[in-house]
Amino acid sequence: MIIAATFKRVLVLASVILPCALGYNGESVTSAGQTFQVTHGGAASLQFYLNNLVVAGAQSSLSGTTVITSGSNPAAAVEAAMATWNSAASANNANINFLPLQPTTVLHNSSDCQNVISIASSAADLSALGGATGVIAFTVSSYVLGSGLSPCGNGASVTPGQIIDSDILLNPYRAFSTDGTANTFDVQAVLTHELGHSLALNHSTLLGTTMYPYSATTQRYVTADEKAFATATYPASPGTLGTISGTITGSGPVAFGVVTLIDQSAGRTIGGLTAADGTFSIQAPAGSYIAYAEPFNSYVGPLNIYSLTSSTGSLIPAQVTTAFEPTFLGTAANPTVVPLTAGGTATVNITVSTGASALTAPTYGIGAAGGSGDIKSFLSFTGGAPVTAGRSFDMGFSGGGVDATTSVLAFGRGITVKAGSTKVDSAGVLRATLVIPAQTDITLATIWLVKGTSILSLSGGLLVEPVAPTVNNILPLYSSGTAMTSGQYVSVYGTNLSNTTRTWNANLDFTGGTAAGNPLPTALDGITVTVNSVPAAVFSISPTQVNFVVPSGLSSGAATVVVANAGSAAATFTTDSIAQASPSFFVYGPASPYYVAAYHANYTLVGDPAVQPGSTKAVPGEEIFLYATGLAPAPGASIITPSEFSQTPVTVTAGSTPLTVVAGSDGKLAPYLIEAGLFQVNVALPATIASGNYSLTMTVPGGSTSTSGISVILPVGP
Amino acid sequence: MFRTLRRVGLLAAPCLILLQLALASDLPRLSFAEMTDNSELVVAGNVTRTWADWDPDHKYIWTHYELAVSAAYKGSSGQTVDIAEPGGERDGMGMIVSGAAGYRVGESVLVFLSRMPNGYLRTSGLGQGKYLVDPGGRVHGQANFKTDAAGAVTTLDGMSVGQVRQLVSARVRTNGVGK
Repeated sequence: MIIAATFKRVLVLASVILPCALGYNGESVTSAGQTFQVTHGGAASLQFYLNNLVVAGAQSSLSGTTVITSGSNPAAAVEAAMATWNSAASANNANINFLPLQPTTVLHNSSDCQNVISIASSAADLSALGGATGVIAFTVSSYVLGSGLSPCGNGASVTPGQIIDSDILLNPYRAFSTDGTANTFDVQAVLTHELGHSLALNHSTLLGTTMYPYSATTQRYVTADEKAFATATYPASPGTLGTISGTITGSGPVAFGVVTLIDQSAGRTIGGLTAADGTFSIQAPAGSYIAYAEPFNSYVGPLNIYSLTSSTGSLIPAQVTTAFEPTFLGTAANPTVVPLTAGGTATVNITVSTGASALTAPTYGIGAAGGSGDIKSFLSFTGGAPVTAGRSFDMGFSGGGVDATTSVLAFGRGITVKAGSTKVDSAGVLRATLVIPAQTDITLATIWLVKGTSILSLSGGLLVEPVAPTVNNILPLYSSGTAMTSGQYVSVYGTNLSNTTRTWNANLDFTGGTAAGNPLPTALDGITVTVNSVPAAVFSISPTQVNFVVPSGLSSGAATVVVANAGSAAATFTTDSIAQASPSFFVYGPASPYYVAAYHANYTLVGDPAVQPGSTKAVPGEEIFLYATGLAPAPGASIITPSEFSQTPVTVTAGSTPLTVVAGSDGKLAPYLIEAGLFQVNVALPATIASGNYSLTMTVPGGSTSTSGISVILPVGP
Repeated sequence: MFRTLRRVGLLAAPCLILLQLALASDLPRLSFAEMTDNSELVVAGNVTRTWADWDPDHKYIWTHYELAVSAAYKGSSGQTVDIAEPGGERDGMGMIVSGAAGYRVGESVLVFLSRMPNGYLRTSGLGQGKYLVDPGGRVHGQANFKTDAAGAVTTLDGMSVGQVRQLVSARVRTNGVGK
């Protein structure tokens, strides 16, 4: 142990001198009659070391089991957790920077001034973890009690409460992974939580935060609560935050009550506690906040906020005011909005409704919107219930006194409870449909259950995740080719590409009008596509497929396509290239070979009536109209006037039989671009062509449908 | 002669895919059965004194709480029990251990205690195993247990000490003395 001689010895106080209440529950300790806020002295360049035994397939001699699955990459997961914190700090004026992870052979040592991540390796470690069935992981931080030179011997000055060593240990009796292996804990989520502890951040009262004390499903995220802590505790420059303070009062001061601030438009939820005298002070970013107070005895209680207990003992019931209902400033139906400016102050004084609530914390879960009986299996869930932005879900509640007379309220960014949706389903679960708008960031929402005069708050109980689009492939429409051409219809395949399914609509999307020359829409319901940074016209959207028209004016070569869902993190795909031509027919049919999409001269569909009722086969000697895309570089950004492409000679064959390209009304033997992405080619069948299904091929300079990878047939017969 | 062809459908039918991460945090919520089974002692009493010291390996500071036992519901204890929790202040240095429970001299508690590998008795499930007993004899602690197939005990919060004793006894009868 290295302790500077200047440090004074202190005794653990038996008397309770609880810290002044802060938001987001930062660490503080009371020693020798003084309360110190705990901070990590090296937060601006925080070096963590990963013990060399923390690797894929790691075995523990203590447990005799595999601690980390063989397919894992724990170092990458730790770095991802650090990157999450660094990114949050950078975007929120916080002077926190986890340096690149370094390897070490060192294990836990509270006094060596090295921040080490390791697997518990001794009985002493395991005891501190709580034994085999104890915590999944924990952080042990050593701090100094006096001022002077750092005991780390680096010449730095330290102040009381400053952390000099912070080690994170994983429980060897638990299994961890980085690939979602069943019945394992996610290294990145666990480390995101523990790194918060290393920064002297305590557990949160909000269910959906990464600092929620119990195992949850969504703790890879750093939420607004943790971001506010980072900015307030490690400010890169002063004045970013404002301060909301006030007093919570019932029949007397509300001691150690939970105060929650919600900026609904920003999607920001921040929690804190009152002090023994009912006062609170929470630093928060500028915004417009609604505020409420609730008892500190729900999903999170005094035992979870351990700095209240570490040296001074737990709170006792007489100290914690709990006999009141959650109460808004204003009313739940019309909360008072409190503006807060950067560097400014605002006051929130709430007089709570006193009395014991008839509701206690129910179990809860998520099910399909309007469903029944599908929430029951989720009811052992804890933490923030994860939902996807831009969709609707049912949230269900069981136990705690909720019943058919209980109503559901939601407080978050744009979240509403669908009128008439609250019901008790076939499994006896109270459920209501939550309509959640699209968004681009992680936010929390609060759910209130109201039964008569009793209220139960699930503060931060809904974690809204933006959709994260992924692109698996990009192919020209009706083609498996790897090239695309300006003015061609192209399909993006993936997941979470859109929250809705539709094609462009002249009334909704053609905001410039439908006259020739006006631009085509480049966004449908927020879905955008760019090709080599050029916006593309978006024709249709669905969660798994987006069709767009390749923009004009692109150079030959590699094509990078970026799909963004409502402005969220975009998905990028670089494989296809820009080519002179990459033709493919428009086709129809349930499976390969597909029928070419073609009309007879009387505008009825060409096809095999046995397969496509209402269609008829092409007749020898008749003229039919074929439709294709990617025949030649063409305008792709605006509504066009149909035009001939006489510079693009076309040959069409049915099997080995050439078909005659027929002149259009202007007498030119050319494909015609009849709208962006769509060519029409008129051909005549020989009078002598025999009945049968012919493989159809169209060839243009630089390309042929024969390379599209799609087998297309033309049925010919009487 | 040119007509616009009606679209004949997309090749791939869209389907909804929900992504859900399988993640975790640091403190597992126990069921009542798990907490009872994992506890060597379930006792009630009053905290009479506290002190901090290094563990035998000098790796961790532990804060000790002496509990004057008034009743034992599981296991056999002496008149006093030494409850130890990691963290505290000693030799000019403070140590915070995330998740550690704490006690105060004078508190009346009902506690589930597990034996640690270093021989210390520690609050089971960290803070989950500590219940404060109010002057009316009712216990106050964590709101909800994890639900499991073993039983329907979802909370002890607000129960009388007698009710807790019955539940613990019933669990011990069902599952033996356990650890």
